[in-house]
Amino acid sequence: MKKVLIIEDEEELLDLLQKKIVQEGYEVFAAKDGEEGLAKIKNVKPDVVLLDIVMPKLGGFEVLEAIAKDEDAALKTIPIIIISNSGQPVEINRALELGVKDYLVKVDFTPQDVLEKVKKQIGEGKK
Amino acid sequence: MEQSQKGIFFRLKLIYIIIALLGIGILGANLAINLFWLSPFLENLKQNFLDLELAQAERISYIIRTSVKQVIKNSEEIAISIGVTGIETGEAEIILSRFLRDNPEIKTVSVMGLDGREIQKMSVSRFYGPGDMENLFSSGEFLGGIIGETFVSRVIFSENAEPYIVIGVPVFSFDKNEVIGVLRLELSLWRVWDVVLAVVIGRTGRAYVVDNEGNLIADPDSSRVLQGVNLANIPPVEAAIKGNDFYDLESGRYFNEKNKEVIGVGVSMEELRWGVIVEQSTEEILGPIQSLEKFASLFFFGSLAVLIVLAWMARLLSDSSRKMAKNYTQLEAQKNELNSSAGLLLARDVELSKTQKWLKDALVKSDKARVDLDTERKRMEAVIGSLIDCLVVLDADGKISSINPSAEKVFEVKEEWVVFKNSEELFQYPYLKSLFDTIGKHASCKIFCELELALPSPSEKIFEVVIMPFKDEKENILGTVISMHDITREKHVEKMKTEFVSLAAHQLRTPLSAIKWILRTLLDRDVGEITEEQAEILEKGYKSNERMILLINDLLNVARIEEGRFLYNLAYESIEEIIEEVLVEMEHQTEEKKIELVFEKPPAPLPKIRVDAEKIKLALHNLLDNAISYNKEGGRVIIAAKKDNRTNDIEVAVQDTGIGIPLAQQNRLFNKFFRADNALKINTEGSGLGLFIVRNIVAAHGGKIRCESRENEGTIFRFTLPISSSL
Repeated sequence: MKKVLIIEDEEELLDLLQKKIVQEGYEVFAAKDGEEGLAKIKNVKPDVVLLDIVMPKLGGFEVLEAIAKDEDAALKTIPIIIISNSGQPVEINRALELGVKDYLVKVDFTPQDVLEKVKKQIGEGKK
Repeated sequence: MEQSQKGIFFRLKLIYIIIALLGIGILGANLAINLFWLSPFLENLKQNFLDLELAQAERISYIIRTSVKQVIKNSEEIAISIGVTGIETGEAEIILSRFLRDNPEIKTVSVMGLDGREIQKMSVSRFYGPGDMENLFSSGEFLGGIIGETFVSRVIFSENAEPYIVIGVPVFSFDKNEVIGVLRLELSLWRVWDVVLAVVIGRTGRAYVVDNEGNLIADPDSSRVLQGVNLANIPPVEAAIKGNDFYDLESGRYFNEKNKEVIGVGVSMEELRWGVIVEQSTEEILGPIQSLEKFASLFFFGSLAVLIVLAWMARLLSDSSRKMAKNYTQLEAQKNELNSSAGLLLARDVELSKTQKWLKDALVKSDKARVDLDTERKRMEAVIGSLIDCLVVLDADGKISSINPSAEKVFEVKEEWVVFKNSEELFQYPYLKSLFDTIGKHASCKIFCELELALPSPSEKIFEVVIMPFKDEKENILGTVISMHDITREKHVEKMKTEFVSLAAHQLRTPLSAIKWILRTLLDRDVGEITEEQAEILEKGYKSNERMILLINDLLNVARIEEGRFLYNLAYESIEEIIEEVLVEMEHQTEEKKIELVFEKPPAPLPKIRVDAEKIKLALHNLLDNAISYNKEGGRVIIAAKKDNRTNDIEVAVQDTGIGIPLAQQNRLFNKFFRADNALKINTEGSGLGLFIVRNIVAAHGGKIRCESRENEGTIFRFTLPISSSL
């Protein structure tokens, strides 16, 4: 099964997203802060990561920077989609410079939209 | 010239001589000190020590001798007395007891008859009855006394280990012709111990007394006396018991009974043949002397080393003097050459002064012009000096030709430090270096350039820098004016605002997205079926939420517009493609309101223009949204794009058949939060920010927007985007 890692501190959003993606036949891992998220990226080696920006312990940018600095080059090939609610152009540009595949402002997208982005990145799940 | 060369050699020789004299002097002084001062001094020191010891020994010897002699003398007087009274009489007894009382160091006193038997005997501590009387016929004191001679025994130790001597004195008859008995007394030597103990010689020194056999009879350590130590083999003792004094600088060093090397003297006590020895450890006496000797030898070898170094230096000097002489010859040659050149220069100088005179004349002629220029220059200086902005003027070579007071302050320099200095000199001022580094990156600037300069710590000021080259009529660059405007505060505020907006957006959007996602999940039947009625209610909630989301997005856009930086992803884009993408997004809305939306394409593809596509989409979206929302049902919206060859712009028009905008309110159309009266009646939801955003997007791209409208007939919005953009 294709593995999706969601790093999101808002529990409601995390739950809804998780449900939506699991329904489509993906294996979903969840992390509630950047630190847990980074650890899971290293352990789980997901096929795609949905990453929030404003989070406790370790923010999304710090996670991206940690991946960029990590010795394990394989981590850098994992596609990352930002799901954030602060989408100022400076932030979007910074994220794109750090190699993210997409930048979604949550409030402008539905869980369905996010799911579509996941599919676009790693293909259909197994129903 | 040779004279001075000789002078140098002479001085060098003088230096050698001085060094040699100095060396000899030092060595000589050394030897003198060692030979004439130190050695005798050390000898003298030793001598002094020995003399001190000798003095002590003689003092002890004297005390002992006199006290023993005094006792003997007293005894002889007593012997005479009892010779008169008779040895067996009561008077004799009284005399003896008084004698005992007056001489406490006498332990016992007794009188022996001619047969050697004691007739009378008494002591301080004890009473002697007739049974206590002894026959001492064979004793030395009796045998000595009976032949008329005073006898002094060797030192004897009592039962309680007290050393004493026995003295025998003949008692003569009244007429002194015959011996009638012998007076015997035991003299305790504890007083000697007192004397020895009272002597203090250094830290390790001691004095002791031995009898004529070398037995220790008095020592500060009384226990040694009790042990009955014999020291006859110790050199000073050996000498003393032979009746010789022991006093010698060389052989004065010996090992005492404790096997410690000491320096001592021995004094023999004449007739008693006892010895008084005073000794002190060699270490204590010679320690300071030895360190003095060590120091002396160190000093000697040290100065020898200095002398060697001096000699070596002198050698070096002579080498370099040889080199100097060589250089000197070369210099001589050069100087001669210079001399001949000087002649030529002199001639040239005459020429120059002629030219100068001519120039001076010319200057006088242009004096008036110069006065005018001076006035002009002063006025310029006043203007530049009073500027708050920094101004740096460079000449054609890029060197600073002037700098105003504001710039002096910012760069922390003075005009005179930097004017016409080369870059290496300027780079020692870190702020100036950072300015030149920044300008360097824009070296290609030919007309006018604007850039940003952030000065390094601790200044950390940020400037907007304008570089403007100035030229003569022939377009030759004469120099560059650099003006700098402090925007530190603006930058700071901007950063704070960005941070605030970012946080506000996040905080406002997070609950909205939760509501949105929850409602969407329910509406999508992801968590089970819901009734049509339930779905309708949820849909209303969803729409209200969407409005809230749009409002916040509008507010964020406005915030960004006011930040002044609105365009981010500039790229060459096709305006037709952008329009078509927006049209797709609008389909849902047009269907709902049964509006016909038409795109009137240009006959030929339009040139691509440099824009931020997202922003253009947002502008088009807002315009189309208005055109649809305020249209009549079944109305029409036409969007068109064309190229205006006259202005070289692309013009986009959005035309509707809607309610129009009241004429009186059209001038406020693009204001923030403006909403037309008639629009409010139809739709209460608008934020009043849409057109404000549109105008700002267009303006940011260097375009213009205008509006033609008639109430109840419709509105046309036209905006332009320049084809050759400076963006």
